Amino acid sequence: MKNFLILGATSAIAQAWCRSQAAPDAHFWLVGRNEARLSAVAADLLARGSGSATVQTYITGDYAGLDAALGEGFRAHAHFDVFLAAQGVLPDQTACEKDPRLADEVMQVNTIEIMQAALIVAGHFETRGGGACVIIGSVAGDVGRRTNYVYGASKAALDVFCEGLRQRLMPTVPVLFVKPGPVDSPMTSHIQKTALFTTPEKVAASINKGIRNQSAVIYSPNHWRLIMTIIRLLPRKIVRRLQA
Amino acid sequence: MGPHAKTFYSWGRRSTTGAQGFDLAWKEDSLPSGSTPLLAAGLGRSYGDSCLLDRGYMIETGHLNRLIAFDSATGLLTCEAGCTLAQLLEFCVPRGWFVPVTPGTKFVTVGGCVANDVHGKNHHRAGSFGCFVQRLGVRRSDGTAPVCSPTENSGLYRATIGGLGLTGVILWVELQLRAIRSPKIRQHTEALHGFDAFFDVARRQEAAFEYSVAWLDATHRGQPRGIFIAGNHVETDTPLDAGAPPLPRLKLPRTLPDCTVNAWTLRLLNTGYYTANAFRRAERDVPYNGFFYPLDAVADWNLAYGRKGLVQYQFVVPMAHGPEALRETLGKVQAARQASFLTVVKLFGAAESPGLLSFPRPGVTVCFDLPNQGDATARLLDDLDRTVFACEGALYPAKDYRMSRAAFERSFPRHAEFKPFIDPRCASNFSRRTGLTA
Repeated sequence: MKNFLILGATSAIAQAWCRSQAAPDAHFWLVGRNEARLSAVAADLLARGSGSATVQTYITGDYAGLDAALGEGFRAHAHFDVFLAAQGVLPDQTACEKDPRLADEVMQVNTIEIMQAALIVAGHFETRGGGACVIIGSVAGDVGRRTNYVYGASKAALDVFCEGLRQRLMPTVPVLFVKPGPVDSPMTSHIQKTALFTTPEKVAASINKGIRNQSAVIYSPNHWRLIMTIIRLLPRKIVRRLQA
Repeated sequence: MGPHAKTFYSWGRRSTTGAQGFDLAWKEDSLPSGSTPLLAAGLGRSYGDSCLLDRGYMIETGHLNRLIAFDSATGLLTCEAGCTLAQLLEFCVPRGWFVPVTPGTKFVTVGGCVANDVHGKNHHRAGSFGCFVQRLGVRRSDGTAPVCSPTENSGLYRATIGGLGLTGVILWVELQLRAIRSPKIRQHTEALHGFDAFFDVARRQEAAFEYSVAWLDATHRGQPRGIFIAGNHVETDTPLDAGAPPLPRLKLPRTLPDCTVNAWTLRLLNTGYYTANAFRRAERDVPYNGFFYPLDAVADWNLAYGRKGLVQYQFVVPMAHGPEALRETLGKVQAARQASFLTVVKLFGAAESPGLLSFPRPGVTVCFDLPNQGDATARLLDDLDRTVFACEGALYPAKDYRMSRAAFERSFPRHAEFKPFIDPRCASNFSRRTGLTA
């Protein structure tokens, strides 16, 4: 019996990962904002032979709703083996520059609600002494870039958050922070695809490997670790001049 | 995210100008508003321009790839239209089911299979893909999403199967799968010599094999030679997960120089393929991937044909005209020194598709692929048309970039019956040329 709690279950990475776990003894608790879409994800998992897939919705900014959606899950399943936080939005950077209020939603969805959900889940995992947290970050959170620094900032915060959470929950509950490179998903559909793009399925495979190895931080694909290390080692004077 | 300017390519390396991509990831989502024309886009495996639309929205369905329902007892599968056959096979083969009809690549979407009413090596027994579509859902530009089946919106159902994406965006498809007991195929190969062999062997072996096709060495002078390739699903129980490695093993990183595919390399390739198969053990069990999808082993193999890409020319003629049509067209291709690697001959069966614009019909289909040599190729194809239409034949839209309105209407006599079902906003470069849409 395997129980999975997914926040942002309609994200491409969450869908791909859930598919990789679909099995008769797998039970999914799918939390998100759009009921019709969540139901499509649930139907997919059931068609693949999953034991169950339950849909729970909440509205962005409604903490009580988020708390209830997760709490219902813990009441129904008593325990979850993996908590995956995959919800996120990629804002239009130029639009944010013109209307800074747009940063609200980005932080709310990408950062605040993931931290809140993780804190709620951490309490349960701590009491029970088991489970695993998987939180999706981004390589964009490693270095600020001209074209997506609002998004990058929202993901960078999760990095520090996960570090602390990991210390709190060790050694019983591993906390895996995943930093994918650009992924071919609906979130990036407006960006011309290059060789740098990876697929949600490959990220899902990296996540499974990370869980198996109880890694702390993984990049997906792995070569981003090297790329980001090099970029961070570059003198700031040079990085500042980069426009990409 | 909203529409974005993007260039789309077909498998023959034709491209769009002024097209915008629009990602349709959820079947409840609406199409872009306004009156700009639109066309559903899958994996772009059609060779010509039936999968391209200039100055319009290309509705990308790659993320529309969820399963909706599956009955493991009956093999009835409902999935979203952007699912690829590769994804379906990965799901259904380990569960003892196989796609009912498959073209020569698994990197096609289910929506594309319906829109082109594709056929495969089992046409003589099973018919085309559309014969196994029980129901489907289409998003029309008026915002509705009618469910279509032989009993419900049957006109739209018959128009959508083989309808080249012109009846709206196919959202989901209910498909009857075929039960299998093994992921392997018992393959039978036999060398063919002379024109008659291509028809005699096929007819003789038709009853014994579920799948069959004849490959022809179009670079060989004199009496044609080829390989008859046939097979059946292995009927003894074997582990169903044995046929795996799904991903391409090799990949062409970029377009190769235009001279890569030339008379010499083609001769070498054809002779190599012939000798490798003509003298090998006739019966052996092979994984389904190697049997159905040999070319999928090289991702983007079309790039080998250089910047101008390749041209496929496929036609069907009634059986009575088969030998004559093959003899004449092969003669013309050889005289023009344009023969390439993939020349195949296949007998179509009598199973009738529900599709109004379905290409397969009883008779013989022949497919040539040619490196695109501009005007010389255009002249050759015009010449081939004369033979095909003299033999009361038809051309295949999925491979076409040049057929005229007259040629289309001769090939598809039910075009007038089809037209009322065209969605007012749907169009493709193909439909514009052939007068199906403005």
